[in-house]
Amino acid sequence: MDYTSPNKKRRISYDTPSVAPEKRRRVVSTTRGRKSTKAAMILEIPLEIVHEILSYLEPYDILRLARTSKNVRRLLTSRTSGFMWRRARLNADNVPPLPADLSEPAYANLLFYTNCSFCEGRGARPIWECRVRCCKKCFQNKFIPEMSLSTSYYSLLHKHRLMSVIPKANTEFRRGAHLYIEALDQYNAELSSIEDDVEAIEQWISHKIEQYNTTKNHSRDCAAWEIGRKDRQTMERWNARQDRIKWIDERATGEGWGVEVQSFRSLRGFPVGKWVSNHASINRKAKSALTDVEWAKIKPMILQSLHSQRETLTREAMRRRLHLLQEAFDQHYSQTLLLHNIVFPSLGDLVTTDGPIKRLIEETPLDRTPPWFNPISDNTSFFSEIFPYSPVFSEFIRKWRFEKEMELFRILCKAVPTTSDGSALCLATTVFKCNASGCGEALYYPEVFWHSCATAYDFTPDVAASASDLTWPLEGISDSSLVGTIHVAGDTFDGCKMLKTKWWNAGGNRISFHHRASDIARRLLDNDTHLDASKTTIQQIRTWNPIICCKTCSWRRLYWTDLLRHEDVEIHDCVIQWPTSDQQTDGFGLSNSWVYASRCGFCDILLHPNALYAHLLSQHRCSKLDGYWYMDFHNRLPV
Amino acid sequence: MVTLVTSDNEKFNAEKEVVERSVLIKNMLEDVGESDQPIPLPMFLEYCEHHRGEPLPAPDADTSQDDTRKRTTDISEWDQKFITVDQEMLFEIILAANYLDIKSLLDVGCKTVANMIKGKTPEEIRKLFNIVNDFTPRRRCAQIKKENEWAEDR
Repeated sequence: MDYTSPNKKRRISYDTPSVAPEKRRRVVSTTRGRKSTKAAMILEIPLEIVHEILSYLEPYDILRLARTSKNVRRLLTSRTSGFMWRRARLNADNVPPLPADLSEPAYANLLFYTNCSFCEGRGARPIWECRVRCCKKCFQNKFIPEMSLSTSYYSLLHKHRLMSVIPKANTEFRRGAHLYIEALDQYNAELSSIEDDVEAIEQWISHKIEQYNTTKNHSRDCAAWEIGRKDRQTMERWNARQDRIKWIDERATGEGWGVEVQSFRSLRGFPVGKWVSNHASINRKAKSALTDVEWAKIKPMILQSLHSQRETLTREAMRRRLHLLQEAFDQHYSQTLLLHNIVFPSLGDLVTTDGPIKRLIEETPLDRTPPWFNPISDNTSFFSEIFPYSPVFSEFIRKWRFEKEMELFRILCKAVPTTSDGSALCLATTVFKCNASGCGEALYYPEVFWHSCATAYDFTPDVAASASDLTWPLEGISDSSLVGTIHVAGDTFDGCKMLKTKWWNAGGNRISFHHRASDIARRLLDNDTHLDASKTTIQQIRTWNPIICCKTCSWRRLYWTDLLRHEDVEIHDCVIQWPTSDQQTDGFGLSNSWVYASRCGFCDILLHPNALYAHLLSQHRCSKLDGYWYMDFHNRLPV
Repeated sequence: MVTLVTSDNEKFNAEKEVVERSVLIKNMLEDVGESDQPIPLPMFLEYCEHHRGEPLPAPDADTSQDDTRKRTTDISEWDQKFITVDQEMLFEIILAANYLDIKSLLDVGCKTVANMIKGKTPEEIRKLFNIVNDFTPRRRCAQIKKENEWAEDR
């Protein structure tokens, strides 16, 4: 009875509601008399419902169902179940019609069961003409090359020229066709049995030719169907895989990782789900969606990559923030600090020392623009225009300066224990030294605070620096590993690494007392009749800018900055040559503010850079010819 | 209003439009007419309530066309949620839907079972439905050979 067209015949009396229709008694049981209410319930339901369920399946599903137990197999492979298989074939796309020489289960097996028909091995390829799938190993036993066929054994087939209608496998080029041995034997036997009946032979041959042609046409359809099926399967699996990957994105977004998922996709060009695309849950053949259990399996990997993405995002946000700060600081440095020799914390000090800047970095959420961001770039600097008016910042700078001066003072005190007070930092004899490899520059206060090596991120100490020069560890200086970290919303960043800078004298070994330079300065000042080494400040020296002469090597015009570079200055006898009254009035005397000069190589006179050209022209016959300058000592050039 | 009584004598009141989704009940009501006598039936009010107003399949609908078309196992979201029950309950629902002649519910149940079977290996199907494997252990090829012959030919 077809339940889909209910009619009044199925009505039951209200008096007998518990009486089930007759169909309910027709059941398929495989429980072998076992009393079980829960076991194999599918087999306890009426047959028409079973049919209804099977009507949604494809032949391969029915075939696999038939392989679950004997009773099910008996039911599904019975000839009366043919309609189920026909119905199932409709559900499979474009399956060629059932050939006359195969039963429904055999046809389903041939089409969908991809293992070898002989040994059950994997990797079998279909040989449609022969209605088998065959692996490489079995192929050698089950097929024979047409060329090597024994003509004597199959003489009858040869005699009637029937080789062309034997089912065969067409192998690769040159190896030719391989005949199916089973078919050969069968044909040979059939032909032998009717060998004497000419009319029967003729009928048999025409039947076989017709059968072969039908089979060949059908096998062509099967081959085309197989290709289409594989393409479809590949596409469906790919789509299912993409859906699973998309599902992962949506699931992760739903669990609060939306920003990371989006940025992952935009930065790397593929969704985060693809990160685990090789996982068995994603890369499986089944087209079903991911389950919660599978999600639980891949979640740790996904979260790991999303955590990493979140770290990348926050790191990038912090990097942007610090670079904006660097831009604002550089602008302030070039416009204000450098011009006016103002002692100001370095960028490294600003981001590492607890203070208003570090607090702003740490307390401004990463998704908000920091206050030093200047979108107009109109020469107004956060530091010069806004922050100086902040008492907090002024206090911070005062405190920082005090601490750093104390640090410098401790360096001085360690080298010169007799130092009494902080004013000694300004003396001309208080010289500091940069301990960076390849630098070694002599530094005075306060330039020592903005010397680049003192805040460089990569610092290599000079191997030649003696242990006594190095002041580390000094009391009151904290361990470098504990400073420089920025904490934002539970994340820690190395601000120094991001900005490639360190706080001043990081590690405590970058700046030391310059004993040699200090001794030279002291000796020079001690030898001078006007100046007192214990009182003369570097500022005074720079203001007077006295000329220094070396009596040993007859260098007549050294300046204070040249002094420390003078060869063998420790053993040479240098003295300050105070100007006479004539020199003071010649326009290049001490009263002039310029420091750098050009020395004429001919007459060894120190000249203002602007005066050098006129000097060479007037005193040394310098001439210009064809755009080049020549020294015409012998008057050979045209005037 | 119609009063439904379950097998354990629990009573439910439902609108006639709702319960008439069951062809069986519809036919009963047509036959009996207005009556105070309660109708003993299992409960499927939730399903019928949700699908109230949807057109019922015509009793004489031509199913021959349906039999030549591919059948999909797509189930609506609500139905999928409704049918997400344990296996025993699922088959109870299918049996009851069949008994009450609620085609749409029967379809949902059958599609669900079909989806459970689809793509599974024989072993997985056995495990799913508690089917006892009574095949004697022998070469698979022989078994396949046997199943490939139509049973009635043997």
